[in-house]
Amino acid sequence: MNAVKSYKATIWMTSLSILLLAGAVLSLNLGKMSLHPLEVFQVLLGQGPEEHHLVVYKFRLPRIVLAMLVGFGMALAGTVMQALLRNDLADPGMLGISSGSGLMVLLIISTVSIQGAAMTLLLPSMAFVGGLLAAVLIYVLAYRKRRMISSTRLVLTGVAINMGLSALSLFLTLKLDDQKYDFAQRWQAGYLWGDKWSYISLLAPWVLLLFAYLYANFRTLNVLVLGTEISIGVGVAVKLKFLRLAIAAVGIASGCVALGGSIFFIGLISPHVARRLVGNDYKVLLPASALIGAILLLAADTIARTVSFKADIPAGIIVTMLSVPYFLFLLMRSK
Amino acid sequence: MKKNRKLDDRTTDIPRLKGKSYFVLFLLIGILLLLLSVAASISFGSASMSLTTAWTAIFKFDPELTEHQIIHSLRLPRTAADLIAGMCLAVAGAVMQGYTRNPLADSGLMGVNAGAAFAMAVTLAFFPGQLQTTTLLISFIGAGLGAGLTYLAASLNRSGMTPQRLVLAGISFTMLFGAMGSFISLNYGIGRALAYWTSGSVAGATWTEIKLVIPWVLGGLALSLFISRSITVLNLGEEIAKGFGQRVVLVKLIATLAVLLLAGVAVALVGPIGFVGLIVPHIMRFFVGVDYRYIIPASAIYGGALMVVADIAGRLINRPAETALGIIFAMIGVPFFLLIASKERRAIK
Repeated sequence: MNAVKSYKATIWMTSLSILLLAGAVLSLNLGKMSLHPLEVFQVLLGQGPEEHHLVVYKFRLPRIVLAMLVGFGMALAGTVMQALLRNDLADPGMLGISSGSGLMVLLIISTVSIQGAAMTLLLPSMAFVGGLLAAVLIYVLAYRKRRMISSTRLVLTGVAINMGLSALSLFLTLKLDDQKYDFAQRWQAGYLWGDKWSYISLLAPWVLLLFAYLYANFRTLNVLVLGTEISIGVGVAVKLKFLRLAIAAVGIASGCVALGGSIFFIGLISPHVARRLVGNDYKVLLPASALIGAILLLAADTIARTVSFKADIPAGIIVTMLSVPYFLFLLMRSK
Repeated sequence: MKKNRKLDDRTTDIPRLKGKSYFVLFLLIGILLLLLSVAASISFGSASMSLTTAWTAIFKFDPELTEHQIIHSLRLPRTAADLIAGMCLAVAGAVMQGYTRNPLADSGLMGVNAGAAFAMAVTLAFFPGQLQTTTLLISFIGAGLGAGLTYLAASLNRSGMTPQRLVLAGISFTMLFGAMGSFISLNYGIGRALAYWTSGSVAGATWTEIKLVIPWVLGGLALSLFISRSITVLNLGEEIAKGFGQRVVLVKLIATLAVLLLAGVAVALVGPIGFVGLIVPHIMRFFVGVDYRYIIPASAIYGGALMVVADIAGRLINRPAETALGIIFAMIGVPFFLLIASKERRAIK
């Protein structure tokens, strides 16, 4: 039975990888300025006119890479979070990252008025810090001396802190001028705004390193899902492992949120899809879920880029619109 | 004795029921507080007025006096709107927590707020410049749509509707309506107008609106009181309720209808405000015990009072500007929520 399972998993992993690659190639050929696939191919070979180079390397490729990276990271963080909190509804934003980084971004754009180079560094780094700070706050409030970490208490504390931070954000939002408000709203809806190579070269090693760490710990995840008592019985140092894995997940999510805005729904939905495809073993579930996240966000962002709506629509909105019907379908089928 | 005073009533073996006289006293204190807060709400504001002026304005109205005019056309309807919204939200929350058996439930989980917000986004984008009465009706319809879809999605399952499924469906529709709302608001540049509505305000309430919502409110409150006894039984567990010969499906349906009416009116009047529906029933349970025949009327009285007080605070904190109700309630609600979170024993599935 195991052989059949791993065979099936291999097939799924291969087809997901091919799908992602094909999606990236397709997305490279789509855009507001139409380029012939042959022209794109020429650019990749180092030929063709200058402006085509500009479109492909400066605009399309970084955006595509960013979409895949953020989708990959968010889905990964969501999968780990659902395992740690043992709750199918957990998403990476649940431990305060969404509201914490959101508040920080609002604080920056409403108080600091610098533009240009300083801003491009300040904004993502502060978003990252804000996410981590909120997560630490929740953990400290939910912490009890000499007691195990309770996922219920973490979730409830997370809900409370999220509410409070959102109210503060609302307070700040009401004071912004129109242009700043527009940016804040886009950011909240999940807008891949950090599509510059310099950002990507920072995010990519971060996400991949943490992925390697999480993947190395798939056995721990497999045990932790069974519950605290069983994990202790099997000999896992629950408190330590929980903390490390949670830090890794929060780290990935904060990095992604810094460049991609609040796209947390990816982290909620991807593990659900992956679980239906490859089952519950985190050895395959982790990479499968991450690939699905990358595909989803790439697809959503390609739609956002290609279809001309009146305004520039953030990819997060399209992700939600695409995946809620599926989620409802799952709900109706569930026992 | 102290051991029994847990917020989670189901951890105790026997439900704590307190005497009727105690309840009546508690209710009377609530009514007194309510009257005081209403009096304060009428006299405080950008122009302060003495209580005697307020008194004469109500009982010997003289249209020649500006002060009487202010009280009659601004302060009174505003206070009435606070009162109605607070009552509705608190009772809707109590009913919701009772029949879903989830201490964290409030009417926002039914998709009511998201539906109303989406309807408002559509109105602001495509039919701007509506009369306030029209927007009231539209957001009420939106609230009904949100709740209806949530209920439908939760019950379209072979094994029927469960509270968990209701919450999940509520989250899904909240996300979906939220995404569609921000799509519209980005496309038509109405984000700020929408944010003002979302933050909650009763500043513009008029008598026309109050008159419009009164019958619905009374209907919702009557329904809630009518099923309060059944909710107490249902709260012990569905199997037990069935054992007592209760028609569980019917009770749930009536409860949903009551929540929809009350929460719909509240969101239409003051915007999507959380917390009141969550906090007030918890406090009431702490004081009057687990019997919903007591919790529901007590929630109505104290919910109304809390909302009036919060609105006074919103007017006074940041004078002459007003602080949005949503923010005031978050300031009260977050510490309280943390308290519940640390007391809560049962796992939420």
